[in-house]
Amino acid sequence: MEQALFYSNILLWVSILFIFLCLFFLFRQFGEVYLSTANAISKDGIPIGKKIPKFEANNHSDDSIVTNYDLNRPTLLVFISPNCKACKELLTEWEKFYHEYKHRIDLILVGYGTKGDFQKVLKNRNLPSPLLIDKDGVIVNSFRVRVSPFAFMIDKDGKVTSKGVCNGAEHIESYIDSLDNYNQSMSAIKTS
Amino acid sequence: MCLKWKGIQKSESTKSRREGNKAMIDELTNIIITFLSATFLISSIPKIVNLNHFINLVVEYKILPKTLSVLYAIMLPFTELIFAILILNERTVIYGTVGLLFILITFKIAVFINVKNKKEILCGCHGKLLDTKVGKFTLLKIGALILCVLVLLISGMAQTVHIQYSFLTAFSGIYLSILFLLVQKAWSTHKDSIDKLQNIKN
Repeated sequence: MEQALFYSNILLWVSILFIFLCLFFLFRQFGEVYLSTANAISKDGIPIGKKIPKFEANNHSDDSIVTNYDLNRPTLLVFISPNCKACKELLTEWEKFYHEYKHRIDLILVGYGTKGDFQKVLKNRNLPSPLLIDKDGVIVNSFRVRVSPFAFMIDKDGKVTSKGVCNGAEHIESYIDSLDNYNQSMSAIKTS
Repeated sequence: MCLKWKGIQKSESTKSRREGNKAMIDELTNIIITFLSATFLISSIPKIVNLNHFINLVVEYKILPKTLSVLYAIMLPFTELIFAILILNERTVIYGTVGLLFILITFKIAVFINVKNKKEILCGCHGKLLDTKVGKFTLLKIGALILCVLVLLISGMAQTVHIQYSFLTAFSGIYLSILFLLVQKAWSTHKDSIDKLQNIKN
């Protein structure tokens, strides 16, 4: 009897480990199906129509302090991180977009990492826009950002007009267009 | 008189505890033996049944020249079968263990080279029974088997292996080897699904 209990104990432990492994596989697959899709990621971040939270960060180039009160014009705020491949690819298009839209909107990058990390990323690059360094992820958390690059289009009142993954030219253009659509719909609501 | 009696009691309890520990180690060694034997039997039989298929898989590894690969592929399933049987006997357990260790090391080297070269080939670990691809999981799996073989080798060298088969030992060993197969099946299914999902997204 004692021997049978000994064996069953070992086999049950091994079976439990197997079940845990299968559960891990299931959760990983579930995550891949539901959580890592563009649709699911676009649900991240503060909701559309809400005002952005207060923030304060140092600009990468001159260490000047930038706060949410400095956003007096419509702004495209893009969150990037130093180890993200898509963010590095976005930076190559960023300069072109900055010069194209700087008369209409402000374009600001928020970098989740240290100044040293971004110095490596920006080596041999001429970044025209401000890059706010969010070393401890305070801004990332207050904006509820989970993945990078992630963009928020903010109107002049500091309200989010659109948001989502920002993987390149198409996305940037769509966020800027959304600003006009948002303004039109808001004015239509007001007149009605 | 009383002190002497307590001393005898103490030495007897230590002795029985030692015997209990030894019995437990014996049981564990017996489980490892049946597990290894069942695993290699399950692995070798499908290879022998579909020998041509297995030869093609081994040639795909492209580590040895083709003639040597073919020779290795023909010999391997039979060697596995022989070593799986050898470890079941107390007199031959040491030969079987050394043989299995040697086979596992060759597997480890072959898989490591292919993983390093990022080649996507079938593992052929269980012939046609499981179509798993070579990867880091294969390395982990071989590592686990090497660990089991080393435990057996150490207890064999220390001459502490006392093989006593019972229904429970046989059942445990076979149960563990089936579970081992299921883990591989679960992993390969999971990996295929993740790959498909990522392809759909891209």
